[in-house]
Amino acid sequence: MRPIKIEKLTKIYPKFFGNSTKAIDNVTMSVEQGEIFGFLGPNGAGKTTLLKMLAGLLYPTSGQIWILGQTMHSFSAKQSMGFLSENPSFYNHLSGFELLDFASALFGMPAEKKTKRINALLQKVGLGESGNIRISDYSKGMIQRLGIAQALVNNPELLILDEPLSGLDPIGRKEFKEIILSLKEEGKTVFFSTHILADVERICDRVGILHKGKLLRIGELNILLSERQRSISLSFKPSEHRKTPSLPDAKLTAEGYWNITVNGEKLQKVVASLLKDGAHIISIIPETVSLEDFFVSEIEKNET
Amino acid sequence: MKLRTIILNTFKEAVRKKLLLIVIGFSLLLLAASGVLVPLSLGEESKIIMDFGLGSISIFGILLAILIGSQSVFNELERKTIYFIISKPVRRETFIIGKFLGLLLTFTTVIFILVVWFYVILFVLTGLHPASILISVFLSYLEIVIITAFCIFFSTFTSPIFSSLFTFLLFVVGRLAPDIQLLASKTANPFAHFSLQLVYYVIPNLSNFNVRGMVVHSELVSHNHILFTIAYAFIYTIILLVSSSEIFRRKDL
Repeated sequence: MRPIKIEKLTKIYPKFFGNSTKAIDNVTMSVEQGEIFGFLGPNGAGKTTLLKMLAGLLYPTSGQIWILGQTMHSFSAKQSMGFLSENPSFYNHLSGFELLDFASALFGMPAEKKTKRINALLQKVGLGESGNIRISDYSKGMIQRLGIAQALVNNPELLILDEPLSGLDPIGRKEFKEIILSLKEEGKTVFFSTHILADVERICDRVGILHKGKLLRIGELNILLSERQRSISLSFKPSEHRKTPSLPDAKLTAEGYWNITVNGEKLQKVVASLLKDGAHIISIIPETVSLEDFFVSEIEKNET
Repeated sequence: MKLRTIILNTFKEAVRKKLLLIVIGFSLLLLAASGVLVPLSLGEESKIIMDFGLGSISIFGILLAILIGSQSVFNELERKTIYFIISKPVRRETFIIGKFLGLLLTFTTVIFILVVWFYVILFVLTGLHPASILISVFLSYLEIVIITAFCIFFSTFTSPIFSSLFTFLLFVVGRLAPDIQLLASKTANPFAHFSLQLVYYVIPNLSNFNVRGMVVHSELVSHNHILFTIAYAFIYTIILLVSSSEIFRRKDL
């Protein structure tokens, strides 16, 4: 059973005047058990719309969603799911502890288990000292931490988090990543949206890229990145009897070496030619493709 | 369990509002100030004070229902706190009923405080403490129940300003229901007659809930009238809550 399965999902926001907006356009995808899935996309891509449909807050125009093998809005699915909305807002008249108590009651948790669980969660998200402070006095980062705690209150099998890293400082982000990785170790599935690519690169098993409501790419991060033809930077010193190398594209660097950038296919030929000429090879360094480069190029490709 | 949690949260949220404390404080002061009417009452002080007190309780109850009731659901949508609840295993209908009952719990508490205070004032000023006052208060409370249900209903699809406005207009027209029927019976124009009759039958006849005059003049309020009014309020409220739940169930949040 896949924790999330989406088939031909479309969401159109109708307008009384003018054209309707297609926020999600025929998306089909699934998330595997126990993986951390990063859902990427620029602002307005439709990430929040899709996540809100997963949480049962929005109704799809067409298509199907299965959460933990159950159809959308199923109680048993929601019982095992945790959700954090983008820029969450909670009841200002409650304290952090009271909010988690409220959340536990909505899951029907027995009273004797609640207090222990809530205190452990407050500690886990770094609010151990602030549990009795009213939410109206919380900072943005504290609210985000509380949001993560309320999503974990029912010990969910599946976590759906919309931009969970926004509002967190670098320490908060590090702690959040540790929490996510510890959840993975417990066998839980995490599906989260973000536009902070550096964080995705470090913790996600797979990513999906959404743009203008369409799912552009989906797959394992290292496989997606390796699809890109990597260029290789080669530095060398020509033989003593040649002042300039035979390679016309080579450029002289400030350090006095020559440098040429070639693709993987040509590398063998270039190296063989240089060695034949008696050149001394200083270094061969593959230029890595970052997720950011990949992300931008995928978006640009779709734009054109 | 879940319903109780939502009821209690709505109650906690309402009682921690400054607006509620201001209205309660003002009502208590106004009831206490009813003593100034004694010199003007020409020997009818108990009737004047009872009329003034019961009228104040009714009007402040309605005012609270409109001001707090019309914000309650809307604020959850506006501040997105609704995501916290609906993403959990909670039916949308449970949320609506919970908000409604939470508001009623708040208003019941307020009315209780006002009634106790009113009895104290009445006893101090006139030495009377008639039980018949409770009949008038009870029927006024049923009117507040309907008004609250209307606030919830309007809140599911409009902003607090429109919700307050619609509910207030409905309250005014509802109180004038017998006059509307009278006007309809005297109108010759068939279209105007039909329109007035339609308004009369669609809006709640809130004059049924006003037995203040009878209580003040020590007239007996018949059991039939009380039972009819209870059933009337119950049916109206159920229809409004079912409609609100249905609208809310289909709503994109």
